[in-house]
Amino acid sequence: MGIGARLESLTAPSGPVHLWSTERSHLFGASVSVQALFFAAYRDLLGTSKLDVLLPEGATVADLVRELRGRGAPFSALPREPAVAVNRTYADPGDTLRAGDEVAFIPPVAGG
Amino acid sequence: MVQASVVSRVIDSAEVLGRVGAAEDGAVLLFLGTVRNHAGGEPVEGMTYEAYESMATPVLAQIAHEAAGRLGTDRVVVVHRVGELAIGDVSVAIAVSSPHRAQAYDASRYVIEEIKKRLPVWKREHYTSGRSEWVEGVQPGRAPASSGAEGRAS
Repeated sequence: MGIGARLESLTAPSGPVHLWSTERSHLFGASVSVQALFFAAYRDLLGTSKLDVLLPEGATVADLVRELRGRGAPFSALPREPAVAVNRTYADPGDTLRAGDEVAFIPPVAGG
Repeated sequence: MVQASVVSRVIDSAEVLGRVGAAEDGAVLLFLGTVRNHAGGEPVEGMTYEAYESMATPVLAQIAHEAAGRLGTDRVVVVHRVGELAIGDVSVAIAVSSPHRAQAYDASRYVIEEIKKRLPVWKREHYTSGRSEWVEGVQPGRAPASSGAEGRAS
């Protein structure tokens, strides 16, 4: 983000927050949006293959899992520590998520 | 010439085999994974394979490169199929070649075992009874820490 954008965001009149980009939103300690993907058994469980999730800035993979599981059924049936890939690479629970990350929930694999 | 792909068409095993082999090779090996007609004593009539394709392709390539590191040649080709498969259909084909057989057997085995451990692919068994179920899989792990993109000779 350039200085121009920073100044603009600092001096802009207070409009509806949802119009502000996530890049600017950190100035307000706001949130990051990630896209969660669900495959195979997880997709069947949840009835959806993708979901946009808003998380506090600095949230980790584990935070995302907690947020989803906290939504109650059927999300609460997700494992406490599912395998997760961030941007198509296996990730650790402590990895920090960034705006726009693609976070895939990987059920136990059965290729071959 | 390490090659890895995830496809939705029928795998032509002869074509896969034809992509490896060189004048200095004394061992050419083709492994085919096929859909069998039973699971846990229950008759099976078909299988649906699903992949997280944008991740499965690079993971498969990574596995193939690691295998090449063990093999000592770059002649590793692996093709994994997704979609609806019938009994006897080839779900995965692995072709390798090297000067000597020990390395070829080792590398071929490595590819299929690593696929089972970490390739983001799932399969649903369709039983003759009409029931169907996701096959119980393996919790995937990261790539072995000791293996770089080029793998490691063993």
